[in-house]
Amino acid sequence: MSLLLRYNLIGHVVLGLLGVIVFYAAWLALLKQNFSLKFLRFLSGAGLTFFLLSLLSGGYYYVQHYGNVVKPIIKAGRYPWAHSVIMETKEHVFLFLPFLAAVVFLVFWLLGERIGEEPKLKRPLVFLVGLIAVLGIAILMAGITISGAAR
Amino acid sequence: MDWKTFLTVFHVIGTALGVGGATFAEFFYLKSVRDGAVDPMEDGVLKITFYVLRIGMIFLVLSGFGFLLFYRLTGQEASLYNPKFLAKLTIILILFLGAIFWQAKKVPLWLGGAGSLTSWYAALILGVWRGLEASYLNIMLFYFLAVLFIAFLLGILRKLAGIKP
Repeated sequence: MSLLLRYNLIGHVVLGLLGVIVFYAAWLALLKQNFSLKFLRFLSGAGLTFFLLSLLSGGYYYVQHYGNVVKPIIKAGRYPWAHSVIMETKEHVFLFLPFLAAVVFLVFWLLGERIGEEPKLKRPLVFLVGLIAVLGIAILMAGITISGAAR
Repeated sequence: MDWKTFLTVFHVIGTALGVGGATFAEFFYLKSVRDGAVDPMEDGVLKITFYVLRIGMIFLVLSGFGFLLFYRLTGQEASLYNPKFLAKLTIILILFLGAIFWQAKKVPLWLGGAGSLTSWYAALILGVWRGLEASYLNIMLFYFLAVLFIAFLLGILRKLAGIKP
């Protein structure tokens, strides 16, 4: 694996992980009675940026290396389902995250002042931020499963 | 310093902050609620303790994924399917979800403290116990029994301290 691809893989994992941590922190913060809108706006912007950069980095790695080198190793190994089930699911579910993150970012920036006053807005927002965190964690677990099968 | 040493140091600091934070959070909490109310000074100490605990968790997760990359890039992918590693990962996930349920006030007091304390110590023990040969299910079964045992012990401590449930 070339140095560029190594950095791509590292970037994909680290940026994705940071995105999940940031949305998890936003979930915790949003559950508080008195939350800081400024902090939530910052977190949603950072999370969206991390997810987009992770998508780009992972996408490049997938096209240049994973499909040609790693995928055949996994499919010929003891855990072929790590690609056919886990990776196939991961690459589709992952596409949701930047869009969901963009929705949360826009809600915090455009409707932020109303969140504290309107439970009808806050409740689905807590659900959406939680969904991003849970999907993100599931994708991290999928990444570990796929990496472990590449031998 | 090579990458593995760097990650290990980072991981150990995270675990130390987390285990220390969880232990002191429980003791401070027990001491704070003894008189029936948490005063501003005690509240401040508890907030700092939880803050340290969260820093520990971030260190632990970042260095943990650092290890994932290290194993992947050095041809040691088999380590990622090690039952001890998978059990540790599950316990960290339980810690994460527990914090959310705790914040949403959906976890009873007796379970929240015991879950956090046991999970942090379990992560520490699994990290340092090099020769442990046990299946994933055995480790998790032992962990859940340990949570119940610690909850029972904390219950006795609360009773002895005269704290109402």
